[in-house]
Amino acid sequence: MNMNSYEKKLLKYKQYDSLLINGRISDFMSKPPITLTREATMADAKALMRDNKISGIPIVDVDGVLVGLISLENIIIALEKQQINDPIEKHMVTDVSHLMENMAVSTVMSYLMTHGYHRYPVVDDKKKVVGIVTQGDLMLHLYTQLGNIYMHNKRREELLMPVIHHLDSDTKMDENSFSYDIDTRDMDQAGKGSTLFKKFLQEREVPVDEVRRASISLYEAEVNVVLHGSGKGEIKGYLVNDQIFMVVVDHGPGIEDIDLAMEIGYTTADDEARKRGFGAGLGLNNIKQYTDKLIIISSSHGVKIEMVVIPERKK
Amino acid sequence: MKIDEIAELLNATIYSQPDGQDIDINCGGASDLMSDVLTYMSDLPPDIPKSMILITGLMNPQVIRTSALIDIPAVVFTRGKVPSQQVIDKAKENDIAVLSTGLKTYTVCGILYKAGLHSINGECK
Repeated sequence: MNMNSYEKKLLKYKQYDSLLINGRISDFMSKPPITLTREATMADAKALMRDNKISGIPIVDVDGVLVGLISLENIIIALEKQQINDPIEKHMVTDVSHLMENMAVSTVMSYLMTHGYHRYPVVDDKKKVVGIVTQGDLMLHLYTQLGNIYMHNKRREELLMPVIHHLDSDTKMDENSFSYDIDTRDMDQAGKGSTLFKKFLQEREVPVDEVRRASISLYEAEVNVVLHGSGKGEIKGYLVNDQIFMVVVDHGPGIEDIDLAMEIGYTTADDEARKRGFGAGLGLNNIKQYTDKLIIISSSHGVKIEMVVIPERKK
Repeated sequence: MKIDEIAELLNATIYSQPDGQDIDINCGGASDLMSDVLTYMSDLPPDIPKSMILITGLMNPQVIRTSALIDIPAVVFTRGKVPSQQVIDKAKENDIAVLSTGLKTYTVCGILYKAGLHSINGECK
């Protein structure tokens, strides 16, 4: 395969990045990394490789910054030349191919294709080694993601079939669609979107019970975005066949453990949230209670909540 | 019970009183936790909050937002919490009556209960 066709392929891969729930290297690299400093001997490196069944070790300075790499090949050469007790510094490769921790999967793929090495140190913006990624790690990760995407799509299809075309497209907004950008760290504004959505539903003569269930759920979700989602996100609402569909997306750090977060009383909110009458660990539970269908998708760079409220007579 | 009567019983100041609307309060609920207020609504017919007064020691815009969202028409702030201008404006915008009293939450509950306001449950009409 020539370079040109690689590039074409990569362009295609890039569009899949948004599909991956954990699409950054830091989501799947091995950590903490096993490293040595350059003062250690080649014999130390050999022992460490044997004990941990690994084929390469990043070499770092006192601050943990990447300065080189020792591979199995370097060890074999040192053994042949009877230089196994030399300090690592004499044998290490100093021009090391490495990856950045915030790189997307498609970029990692491109590296693996063009460089061809088996393992890569992963560094942060100060070039400190924070992890190791092997080709195997990447394959395992993609395989797991494939399972997640399949499960999610399958479930979404079952739950949201009537509006799934709405949810996947920004362009199909009509008079029964609602959209609101949450862009605030100002707690005073939390709940504004939900208040507008309530009005939206009332104008369309949705029965009072459904209006209430939908606006309470959306309110809790909106407050969560302001409390945990770094204050930025968006709300989308749709009224389709008398059913209310709501999607709330944020770009915060995600929910670490959804099962735990669903438990009544569990919270990671701070005092500011409590001063507002929230952060008591009831939010997600309230949403569960007032919606008929609920999907929460969390990753390390955002949460997406999809909610459906169905009229009593349609159940 | 009318807002004026409640204000008198609690020796409260009225900061917002929607004109032209004769709010009739039949029941009350007390909480400093807005999520809790939202939780309670689940077992109730949608009409009940419409005749309810929310008694709270918490004073911020979310109290009004929460009330507006579930159609609670009146809020009383306890322990001398004076509503901010933002809170008053928001309340007026949403036709919500706002009162403030120096009494403690427990005392306010006791006085209003004795005066005939029900708890938010089936008895409340």
